[in-house]
Amino acid sequence: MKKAQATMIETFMVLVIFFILLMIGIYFYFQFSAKGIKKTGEELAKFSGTTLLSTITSMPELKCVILKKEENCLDAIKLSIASKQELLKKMNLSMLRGKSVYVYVVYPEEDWIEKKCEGNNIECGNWTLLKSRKKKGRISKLSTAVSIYYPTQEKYYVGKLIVEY
Amino acid sequence: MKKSQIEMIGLLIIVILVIVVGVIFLRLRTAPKEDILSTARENILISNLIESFTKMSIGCEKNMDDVVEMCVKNGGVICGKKSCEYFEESFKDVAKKVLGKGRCYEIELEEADIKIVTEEKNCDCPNAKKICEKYTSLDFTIKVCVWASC
Repeated sequence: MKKAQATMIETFMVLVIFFILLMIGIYFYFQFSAKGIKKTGEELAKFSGTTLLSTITSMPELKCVILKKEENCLDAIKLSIASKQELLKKMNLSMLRGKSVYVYVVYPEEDWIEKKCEGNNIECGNWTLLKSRKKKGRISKLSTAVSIYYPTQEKYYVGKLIVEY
Repeated sequence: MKKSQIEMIGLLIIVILVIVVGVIFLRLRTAPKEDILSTARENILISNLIESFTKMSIGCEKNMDDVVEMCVKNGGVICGKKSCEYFEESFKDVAKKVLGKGRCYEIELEEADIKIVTEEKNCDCPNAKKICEKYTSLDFTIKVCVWASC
């Protein structure tokens, strides 16, 4: 083998190794970038979910009014109307995209609250305010406690507001 | 030792130093930051929990507010039950339903000297951050702490 050929092979080998290292570098760079983007996406979804929890509890369409005074609770009748008329879906807010919103009574457990009842009726004690299409992969949940007022009985119950995304 | 060998060792030391600095930098950059958003969310959860709990109707046309008030004043009987026991039992039930089984919490009713603390062995994440909120009314102060979710 001539000296020139040996030099060429050497240069070629150096180039091959350089590209292999470059590929490995690019692979890891994109791996980190993808992870970062995913994390940012999750944080944004959490943020919008948290905002949604506060927004729903302060919506006049759902909030209870007792003796013309707004109180920090959700009205069971308003919840039934809003869920039947798909109020949140009609609002078409960007923060609602891809999310499901549920409210249900958790305490005290009463006999009149039918279990496994899905009619968005006042006697069911659970309401589906928004249902998004089924998502592939992991579903995350955010929840908070709410006070639910039954005007017909003039009673307050402890409920749970859940946002799924 | 030849001059070239010494140079090689020097180069090696520099490379090792660069790697060490790089690793420290990456560690610091990727260290978990304090999550302000999740703390705010837990604060909202606790406030809502206390508010909905105290507002809750208990039958005999009374609310939990009245139970707590009675417990603080004289620990008397309300709706046929001892007020302080009723308060403790109800809060445990509500907390289990709202927070879930694995979440640890602590509730303190200062005026009645009542403190409920969940056992650490029952917690999903006992080393998590403890977040507290206070609810003050004219007659009593309820302090609730929740261990952040893992």
